[in-house]
Amino acid sequence: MIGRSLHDGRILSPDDCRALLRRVHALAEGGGDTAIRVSSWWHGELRWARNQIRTLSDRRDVRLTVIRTVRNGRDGAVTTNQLDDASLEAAVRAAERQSRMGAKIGRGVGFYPQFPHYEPFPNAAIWSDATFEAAALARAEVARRMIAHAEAQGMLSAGYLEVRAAMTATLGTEFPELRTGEHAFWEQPYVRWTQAQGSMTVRNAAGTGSGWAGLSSYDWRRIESASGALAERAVQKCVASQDPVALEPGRYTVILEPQAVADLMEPLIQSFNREPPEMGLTSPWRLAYDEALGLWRTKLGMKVVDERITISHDPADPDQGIVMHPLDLPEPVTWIERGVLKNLGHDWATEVEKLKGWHAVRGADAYRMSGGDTSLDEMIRTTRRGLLVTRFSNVAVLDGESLLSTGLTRDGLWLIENGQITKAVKNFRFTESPLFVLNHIEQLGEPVPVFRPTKREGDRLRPAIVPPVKARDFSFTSVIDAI
Amino acid sequence: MTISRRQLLKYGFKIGASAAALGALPRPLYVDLGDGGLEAVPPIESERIRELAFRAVEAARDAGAAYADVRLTHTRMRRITAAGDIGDEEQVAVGVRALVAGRWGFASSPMWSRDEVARLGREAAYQAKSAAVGPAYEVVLADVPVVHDEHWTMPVEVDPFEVSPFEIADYLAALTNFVSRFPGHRSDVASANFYVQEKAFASSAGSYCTQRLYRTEGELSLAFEGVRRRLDALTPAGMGWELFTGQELREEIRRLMGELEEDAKLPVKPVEVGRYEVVCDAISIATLLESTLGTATQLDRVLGFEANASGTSYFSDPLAMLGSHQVGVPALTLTANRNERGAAGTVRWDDEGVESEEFTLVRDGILADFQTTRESASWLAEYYRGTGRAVRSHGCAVAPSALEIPLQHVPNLRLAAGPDDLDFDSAIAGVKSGLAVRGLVVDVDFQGGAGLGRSGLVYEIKGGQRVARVVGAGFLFRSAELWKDVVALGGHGSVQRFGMMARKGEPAQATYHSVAAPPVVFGQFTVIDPTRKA
Amino acid sequence: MRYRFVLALAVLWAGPAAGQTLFEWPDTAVDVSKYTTIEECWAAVGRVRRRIAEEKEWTDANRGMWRDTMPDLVQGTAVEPLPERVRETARACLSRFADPEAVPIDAYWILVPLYLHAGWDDRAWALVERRMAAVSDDDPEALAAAADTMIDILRGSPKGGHHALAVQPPRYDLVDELLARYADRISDRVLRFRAYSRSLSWATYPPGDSVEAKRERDRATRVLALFDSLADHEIDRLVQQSQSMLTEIEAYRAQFGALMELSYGGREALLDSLRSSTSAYVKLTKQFEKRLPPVLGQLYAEATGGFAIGSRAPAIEADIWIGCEQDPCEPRPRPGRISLVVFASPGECVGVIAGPGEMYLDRCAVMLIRLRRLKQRFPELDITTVSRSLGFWGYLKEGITPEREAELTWRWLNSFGVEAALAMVRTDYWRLPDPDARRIDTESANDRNYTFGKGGRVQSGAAFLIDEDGIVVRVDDLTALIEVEAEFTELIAVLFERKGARAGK
Repeated sequence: MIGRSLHDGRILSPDDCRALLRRVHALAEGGGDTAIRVSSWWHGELRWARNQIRTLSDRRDVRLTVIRTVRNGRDGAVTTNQLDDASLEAAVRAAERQSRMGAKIGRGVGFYPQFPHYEPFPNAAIWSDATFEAAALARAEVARRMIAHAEAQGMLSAGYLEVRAAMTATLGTEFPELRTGEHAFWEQPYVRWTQAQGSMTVRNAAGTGSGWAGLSSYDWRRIESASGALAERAVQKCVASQDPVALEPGRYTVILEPQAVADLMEPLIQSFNREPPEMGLTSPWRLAYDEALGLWRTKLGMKVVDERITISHDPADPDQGIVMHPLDLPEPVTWIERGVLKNLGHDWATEVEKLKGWHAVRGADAYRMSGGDTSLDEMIRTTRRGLLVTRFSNVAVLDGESLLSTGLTRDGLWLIENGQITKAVKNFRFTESPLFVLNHIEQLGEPVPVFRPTKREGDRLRPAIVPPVKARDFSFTSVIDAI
Repeated sequence: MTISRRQLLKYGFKIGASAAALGALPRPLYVDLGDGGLEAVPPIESERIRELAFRAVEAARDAGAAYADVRLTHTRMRRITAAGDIGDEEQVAVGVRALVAGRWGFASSPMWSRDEVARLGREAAYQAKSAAVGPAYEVVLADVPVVHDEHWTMPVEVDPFEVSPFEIADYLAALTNFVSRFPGHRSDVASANFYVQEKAFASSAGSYCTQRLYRTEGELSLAFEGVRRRLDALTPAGMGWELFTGQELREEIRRLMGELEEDAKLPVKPVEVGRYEVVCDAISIATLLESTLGTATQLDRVLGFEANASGTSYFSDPLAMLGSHQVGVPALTLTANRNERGAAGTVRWDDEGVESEEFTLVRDGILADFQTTRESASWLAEYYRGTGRAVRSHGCAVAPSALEIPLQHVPNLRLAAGPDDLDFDSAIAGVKSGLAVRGLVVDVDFQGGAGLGRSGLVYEIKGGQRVARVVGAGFLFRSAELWKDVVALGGHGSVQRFGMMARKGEPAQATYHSVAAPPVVFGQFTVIDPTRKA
Repeated sequence: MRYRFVLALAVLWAGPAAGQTLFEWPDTAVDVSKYTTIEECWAAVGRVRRRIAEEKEWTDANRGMWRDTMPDLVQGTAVEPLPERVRETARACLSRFADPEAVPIDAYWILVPLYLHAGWDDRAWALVERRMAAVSDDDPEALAAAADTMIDILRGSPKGGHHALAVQPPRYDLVDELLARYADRISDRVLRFRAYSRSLSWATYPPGDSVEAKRERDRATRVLALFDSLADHEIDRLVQQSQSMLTEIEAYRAQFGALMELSYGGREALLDSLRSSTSAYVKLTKQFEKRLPPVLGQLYAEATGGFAIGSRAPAIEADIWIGCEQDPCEPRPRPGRISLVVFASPGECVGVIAGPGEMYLDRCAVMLIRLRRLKQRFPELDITTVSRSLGFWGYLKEGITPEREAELTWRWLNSFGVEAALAMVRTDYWRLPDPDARRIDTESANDRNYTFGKGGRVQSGAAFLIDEDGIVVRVDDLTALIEVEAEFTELIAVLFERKGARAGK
């Protein structure tokens, strides 16, 4: 039963989804419309700790929401994970009962023109057969190799490897006479994607040193081929981070490795939305209320960060593939271009009402931050006194306007003196804003894919490509003992 | 109603229409238990679910597993709002865990059928075997008595799924109506979430048990002149509808409204950094406990099994520390359990078939034990044998549903009350100069060792009186010092219990438990302005 | 793979066992007699009331009966008795709170309506008396406030606007009794005037010989007498108080309607004046407006479109005309025709359609239904809908020219039975500089013309009734939930009657 094709039931196929809609609709009573929202996922996982593979797992689930709108009734929705006819009928009846609980008369009455039709963006790199076919044995083999790096140095490692596949679709029967394609414009046509991730924490036996490395991609082969380098990096960081000394909190020049930059930028990336600042809600992009025009002005068009910074997304880039809706702009989007705020994501309704163009501009699920040509070594060499940061943990926003955040350094922090790494340093709590950092840049390195997997089962991809950044006056506010 | 079903079963009635007519739970999902067609999911006590469970275990054993266990869950969720919106969701799942040469394999899916559970059994063993290259690891599972076909239904007074959702909506709307009787007061949200999970567990050691577990929670937020508070009395609990009807909610709301009015009268001032005597209310203490001692006493974290995920622990060497390491003042005793009636983490058996019991994590300020599972308990065998105790799991293995593999999760925690008849208000009255805080949100590091509390409602205290509301305060602490700085613990009457959710593992799992604590006075709390940069 | 063989299995499967509950919810009927609090009774009554309203809509819709074929479109002033199920719910639930002497007095504003829902008029009145008795005569402010609140409750506009507590039908008989018993105890005459004027219900009961209408006139007589007796300084105070109540235009409008009716021989007199000539009608209207203290006059003008009444209706400007192929499209309003000019853009009431849930009538319904009915009643009425291009239509944006937008808008209106010409203006707009690029619409000539110097945009739903000489007779919001339709109907009927009479001469 351990099949390896799309039809082995690990995730639903496009035919399965179409058939589901037909079956659900055929069970409908009381006329009206039927829609389904269906998603399914499969995970192959591996956890190891203390240099021993602990658990391999193979898991899957399906989630079907049946939305029935009987004639003149309201929408009724019921969710189940059983797809047999009897369970489906039960769910349909329940949704109909809900639908009859209220009235929403007048639907579909009147003249409406035919729906526009949009095809989903076809070129996103989001599915990898290699990921879907990565067997437990292959995962175990990679884990063993990674563990061997730690063992060779007498260190303890813990890690996680995961391959997953997921699909989602939203399909309905509403307004057949107005449809011009297979799906109405608001529907999500069948889409499937894969994700692979690998990460490893290496600690010494005494618990006085810790290193980490990780990578995520839609393609398992990237993880597989990078696994040796990841393991080596984590081991080296652990070795070099042992027995740290405490430094005084204060402002330091920091060299942030790409992962640290990505961790710090997370609140910024989440903020690229047009509606909050235009509605006057808290946002770093809200400027002021314009009395004359009676609307909130935003910082669009203004220089907001260092001009070396461009934050953009190209859905056709094989390292930046995301799951897209047909209404999403199928082209590259640039949120910040040479330091100037150029775009904010916005939904389709906002766009049609107020803006040019047609598609919705997707928010920053995935992004690429531009870099420079300074190598990490060069950054270190040119630093008189500063700190090298591996990554941040527990980042929390304290102020939604400035994006002032707090969080912790983790898995490797070093003092740089006169161009040399001189000692391992105890972790700090920081209080800093990503916007401040992007305005105090000294040097930038080459952008690389970082570890940014989606966590929840069935969630969508969110890859990021981020450079290392050297910035001055980064604020560390207290020392923590945790290693 | 459960008694009658038990009796039916005893006398060998076939489960079918008659059982469904008992109506304990609507069963809209269908399964194929091998009788030649689909049928509604039977009650969890059904003999055929037992057969299904052991079929999975046997398949894993046949495929080479030294040990195997299986969980079947049937979960139902319902959400009701004061506006009368009702959301229903239901899920069936099965997951098999197999041990081969010291490696665990796990396989799960949403289908209950004879073929599928057998496939999962084989798949779990296959997964484990995939890693089993080289010498076998030693995995010792602490002994556990075999549970022989027992069933337990969490004792709830009112099964929320038996109550008309319309009655529940009326009740919730009545709460907001009640609030609207008081000028200036508003209640924005009122909603209730109900959860019931029927769960069967079988192991290759021959244990078989089934449970019906409930969880209920509610949300009610109050606002008065820009000050907002949430009702703490409705945090998740292992209860039924009586979470709402069994307590004096209106009294609680009135009390909260009174406090809001008092708060609104106080002048507002920005925080002045420094070290203060601080009175924390019960929920702040529960949150602090959960993020410090509750995190650090997870044995798998201590030993690095969570190093790549949620983190490790500030307790570094369990065997050296147990019985001697001072974690707090002598007045500090922290117990844990999974059998406290009404708590959110309460079960009869954990997800390894271990019967729950109370155990002591910190006794008189000394580290006394860790949270364990069958496997991790054996890591402390030396300590247990040295102190003349049996090597036994504390029953902390939890799989939120059968789709997920059991992990060690936080059990219910309970901080012992102090000897004096002290509560939040009387503690404040005893403070000459300091701060008091309600509803602290705590952000702790990846070892549970240091943290920052913020967002709470903070009062300045002068001469035993609340004289101002302080905004923008952050409470910086090191766990190792925090619990040694306890000046006073609230008395028995001041202990309150709160349901909480915790995440752990890779992939992350969310589980629920309760933390009971009295208010606590700390002598020297470092108070900062968290938005102030270095 | 299970999903593949379930179809085959379904043939074997015979249907759920008897008693199988299939996600079934327990019956919506709840035993409310066990409820232990007043607030739960309030909640239950609210739920049952809401449920019945939805059921009614639902079943009527499924009988092919739309809301626009029902007699009463006015939600705010429903005069039908409450459905029996609501009354039963109130009775069953309130058994614990049936003694008006024992219930907590601060809950009077909940219990008085609930008692009335239950049909327990005596208990309701006892509680009213108990509440009023609790207020001292020495505190006229408190007494007036108590009376005001109570009058509001009895006339169906409860404290806090809680729908469940809206007394239906309004109990003006009890309002009268309340005033008779307590009004004279309010020593301050401004406050007393306020209480009395609150008791008018012109918007609810049409004039005629019904008991309610007679009562209404009695009340209005008193109100006017009281008003006339106020000294100047008292009127000043009244005005000051009114300024803080500017939001209650609807309430004032009812009062002034009644005042007007009395001052000038009733609404019939107003209609009579229109029968004789528009200028007489305008004069009467303006006279009344002037007679009122300044703020009240302004309020009255706002409520009735007084800013435009008597003005010559400007010609509608349009870039595209549709639906007037048989007659000349311009000028509109046409000389010699009785016209209704309605500002109507689907984009302003439906907005962007982003999903199937938005493709139904929603808040445009009231306007569409009224327009359809007015056209059915008066086939000769010239209705011109005035629209402005938005650059999109529902979900369409590609290829949307103003011509296409006009065509789609017209077809959309037409599909709801609104037979009217459509005037579409190519909207002037500009955009904020890139990359903001938000579209900033500017006023069209029609906006400027039809605000009669006030400036700003004319809201969708604004309707201007224009006589055959091109003079504006009435302005109102066709989407408002008040007796707009009845008033328009009366005035239009008079205009056609007048026109017919003239033609006959």
